[in-house]
Amino acid sequence: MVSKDFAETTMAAMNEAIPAAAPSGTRAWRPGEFEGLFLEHFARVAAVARRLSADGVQAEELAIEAFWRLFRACPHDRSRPADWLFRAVIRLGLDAARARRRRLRYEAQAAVMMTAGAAGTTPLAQAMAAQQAAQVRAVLARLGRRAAALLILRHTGASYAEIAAATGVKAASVGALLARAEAAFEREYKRRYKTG
Amino acid sequence: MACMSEGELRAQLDGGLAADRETELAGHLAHCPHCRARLVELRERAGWVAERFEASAGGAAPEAAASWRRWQARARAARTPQWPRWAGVGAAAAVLVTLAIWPAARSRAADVLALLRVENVTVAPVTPPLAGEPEVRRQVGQMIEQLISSRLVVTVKPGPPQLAASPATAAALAGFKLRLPAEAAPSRLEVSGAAAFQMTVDRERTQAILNEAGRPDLQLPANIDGALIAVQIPRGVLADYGQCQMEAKPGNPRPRLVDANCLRLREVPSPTLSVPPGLDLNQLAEIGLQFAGMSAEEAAAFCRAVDWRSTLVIPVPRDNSTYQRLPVDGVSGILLQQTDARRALPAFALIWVRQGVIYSFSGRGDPAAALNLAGQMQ
Repeated sequence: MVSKDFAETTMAAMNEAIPAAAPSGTRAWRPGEFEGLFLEHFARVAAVARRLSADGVQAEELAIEAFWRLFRACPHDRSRPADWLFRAVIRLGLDAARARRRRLRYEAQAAVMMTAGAAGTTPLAQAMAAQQAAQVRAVLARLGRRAAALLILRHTGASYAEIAAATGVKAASVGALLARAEAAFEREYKRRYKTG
Repeated sequence: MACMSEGELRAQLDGGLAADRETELAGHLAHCPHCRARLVELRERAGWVAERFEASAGGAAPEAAASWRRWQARARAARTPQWPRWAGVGAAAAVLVTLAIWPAARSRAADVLALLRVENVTVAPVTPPLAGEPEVRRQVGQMIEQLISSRLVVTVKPGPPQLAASPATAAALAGFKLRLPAEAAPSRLEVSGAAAFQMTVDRERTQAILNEAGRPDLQLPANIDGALIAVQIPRGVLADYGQCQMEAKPGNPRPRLVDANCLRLREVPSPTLSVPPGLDLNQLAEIGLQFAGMSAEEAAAFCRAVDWRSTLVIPVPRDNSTYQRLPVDGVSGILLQQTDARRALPAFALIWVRQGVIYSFSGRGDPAAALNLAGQMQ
């Protein structure tokens, strides 16, 4: 556990990093404000990141990077931080996935072995699940950013209103865009992996 | 009523329509086979996509509080971006500790546990402790170095490495079947000597290190005091591919590989470790992993998931390295890459284990050439 003095010293150090006169459109974080926001939203942001990551550790790294960017951005409007974070983490995840495209093909074409000995599943089941997850990520990296974002948010439990806010579309358009994204996903997936 | 739009049909599947529109849709579907067919098609496709996404959901989400601590470490490190030298020592100590506690909590050998035949490799992501506290870091680094130098006894000195004129000579000197890339000839072959050392654990001094590093919550068990840990490392082979130039900088006794055209292949049979019976090795591993930045829950989960008898655990700093698992040489390996944006040629290491031999390719820049050579091993 982190001591109170240590935490206070850390927060003081972080607040030092924020300009005393914040640029217009931004405002400094109040003590404890960012920590509260982090603890409230981290799990959902990490769940979104997990869809674009090879494992939980990479997902956590992406999520932490998204929060870091929010911290440095110091937006004035903080009424819907989840929307900002979803956009950021999806952008980061897709950029990382596209940069890894060659390795994604590598992973997707062979079983990716999980750590031996994990309880509850067989090694074969783990390998097949990992392979399918890698295939999903590879296909997402090939779709347009908005289509990928729609699919990821839909499958991490976001409502149509949240999806609309995070992707910058009208709520009434989410259904149509989602249908098109699913069709595009299916086409690309079957094209790459020749499955039914 | 006109047919429903595709968007409204799709939204209906997710309950995304307003109540009155939902009612209208139900009434329309009762009389429109075209829309019913479209709805079935959309439902089937949505289900098909959902099945594939199910696999990418991953395991349990990371604990927010633990991730917050890592975020804080990053915030502190942002003010001191350079990887501290002590953390290198700390990481090496963590490797030693990790090595020393691999073996087999589950082994049923009698007095001395001969442990570990390495068959797999995995990664333990770590956060260097004390990244933003240089004075404490220096102090703790000194304590670790003093502890190791006072308690470590080298029982077999490796001696100077021997150059080998050919792979056959290298194999004969090393005493194991050497595997090399089939379509490339090494520019240099070197055989390192076998080594062995043992260390008697000093609980009081080791606990003092944890306390000084701000982790008095990590309490070492009493029965670790005086425990004798022995490590034996067999002969290994180093093969250079390309032009391998080393550069020594003033004040740094360790020359550094600088050439982007150089790949270094190292292979060594699995080291053996022994520890006395009665030590709770999982407990020690959990302490080590928590010191290296994991939460208690993460460390416990990691220890449950790893087969300590057969898995090489590599601690990887979260803040300046990335890693990924990938197939190499017919097994699953790890590619580690430095992420320091200041370096034009970040270092990488490709590590895998096959039939009890640990292989690694190291180099700088793009690892594609290393992956290519690793695919030719025979």
